[in-house]
Amino acid sequence: MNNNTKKITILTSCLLMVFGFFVSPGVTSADGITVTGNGSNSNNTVNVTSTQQTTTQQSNNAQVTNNTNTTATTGKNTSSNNTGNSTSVETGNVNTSTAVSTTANISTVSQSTTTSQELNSTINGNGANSNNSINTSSSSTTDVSINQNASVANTISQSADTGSNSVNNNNGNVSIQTGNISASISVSNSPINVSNVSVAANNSTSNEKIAGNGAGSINNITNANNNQTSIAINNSISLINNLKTVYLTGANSAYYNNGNVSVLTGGITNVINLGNGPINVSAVSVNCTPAQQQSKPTIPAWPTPPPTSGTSSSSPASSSSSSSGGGGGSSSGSSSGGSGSSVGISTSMLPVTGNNWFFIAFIGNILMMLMGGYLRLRSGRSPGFAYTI
Amino acid sequence: MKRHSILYYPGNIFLITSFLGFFYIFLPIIQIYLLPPQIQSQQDLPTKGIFITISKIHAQSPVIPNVDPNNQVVYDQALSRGVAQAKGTALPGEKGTVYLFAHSSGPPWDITHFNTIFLRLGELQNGDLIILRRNGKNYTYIVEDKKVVDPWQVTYLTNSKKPQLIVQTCTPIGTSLYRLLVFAKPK
Repeated sequence: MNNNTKKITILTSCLLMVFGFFVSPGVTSADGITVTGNGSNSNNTVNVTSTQQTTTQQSNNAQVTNNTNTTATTGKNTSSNNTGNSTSVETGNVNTSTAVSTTANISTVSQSTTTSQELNSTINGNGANSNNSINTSSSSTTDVSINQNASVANTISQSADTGSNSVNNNNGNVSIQTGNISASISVSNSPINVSNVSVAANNSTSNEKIAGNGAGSINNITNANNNQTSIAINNSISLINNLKTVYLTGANSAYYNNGNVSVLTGGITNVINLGNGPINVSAVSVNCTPAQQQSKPTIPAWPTPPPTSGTSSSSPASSSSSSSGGGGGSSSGSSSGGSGSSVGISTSMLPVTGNNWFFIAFIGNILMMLMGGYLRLRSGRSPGFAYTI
Repeated sequence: MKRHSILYYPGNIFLITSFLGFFYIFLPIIQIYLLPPQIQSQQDLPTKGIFITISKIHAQSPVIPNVDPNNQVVYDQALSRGVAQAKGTALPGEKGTVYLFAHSSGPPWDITHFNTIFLRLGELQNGDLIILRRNGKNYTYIVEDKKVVDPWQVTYLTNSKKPQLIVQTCTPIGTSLYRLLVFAKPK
């Protein structure tokens, strides 16, 4: 090695050291499948199969019977054979209320994202006339089945009586005043047979890259995703509301009166609130994020020296889960969802936020420095065209 | 007097020119490390507009909203004025992913403050803070991950539902070979 070669080697080493200074620090990169470094005329195949199945079954049965009987009486007073002075009957007010509330069969199925993965498939650096392929397939099946049956019977009887008073054989003044009746009934059948299903579908991303393989090589990457979501909800309800009310402030009697008779009956206020629903309501939400695929066109490249040839494969992976729950109404409905898309913008390449001019200028300066150094070294040993001062 | 070959003088010219060239192309970078630009407090920033502040790397810049990431002419103009927010992604305070991108390097004769705003983006680590200020209101994000991806891996740009901030620049410095993505979640 002569002096020039040594110096050039030193300069080149310095260049590499300076260049190494600018190499970015290592950061996280996605995992993937790589077929690389296989020899010429070799056949290399990677097969990956992933299967996932999730089954959820819920069956809810409820039978509810509400029987209420309310009786309030301040009347039915009797006063007989009254003579002389006045006779007065005054009954008190009645306030009565009945409230019945029924809630049955509430089902919630919430399934988070089943799969969130990023798969990078790369075929590069394989020898000439090699046959390289990566075949990946994934299937995700989600089945949700909900059966809800409810039987609700409300029998409510409410009676109030401030009248039905009798005054017999009076010779003097008679005064009857009955009290007011204020009654309320509140029946609420809600919620019954309500289901809320939220299922997140497969969320996977795949990136394929084929580059730098030898001439005549055949390179193939296939990726198949199959996501199926099936949701079946059956609701049935038998609902009977039987309300019976009797309110009485009158039906007062006075017999054989010789004096003044005064009968004043009270008022009746009755409020009935009957609320049915929500009954048989199902909310189904299927959030789908489709697998996105981006592939860079195959770049013709020079053959890479092949180390060895070989075949590799990976075994399939599968998982399954199921759950069931009990609860208790009727209508039927079913829905099923498949894949959808949620894409904000579409583009084929991330924005270019760097510039190669910096690197080119850097290399240009290195070359210029090496050239200058070479000329300086060479000028010292070659007489060439010289002059004397 | 010592005799020199005629090659002696062009050799000197090449050496001097290369040294000047190194000084010319590295001066802006050296300045960024030795004399980093001053970061204004959030209160001193204008109440109108969007601004990004990454104190750790002394990066502060206006954000140009709704820049088409598919049109290089358009976003190159925007990047000469600040950091670009990809059209179609969320703005600070909105639901979804805020996607910002800016230069890590540029031509030596055109390296300006904004052109190299993300020169040191790779120095960010998990837990570092990024503050976006929009119309006087601050939105703070915490760095949780970073990745180097190929330019055609556009999933990070197109899937914009997740509430997060993605900041992009090119790597290695001085090239446009790969994209450095920094992921940050709302604080």
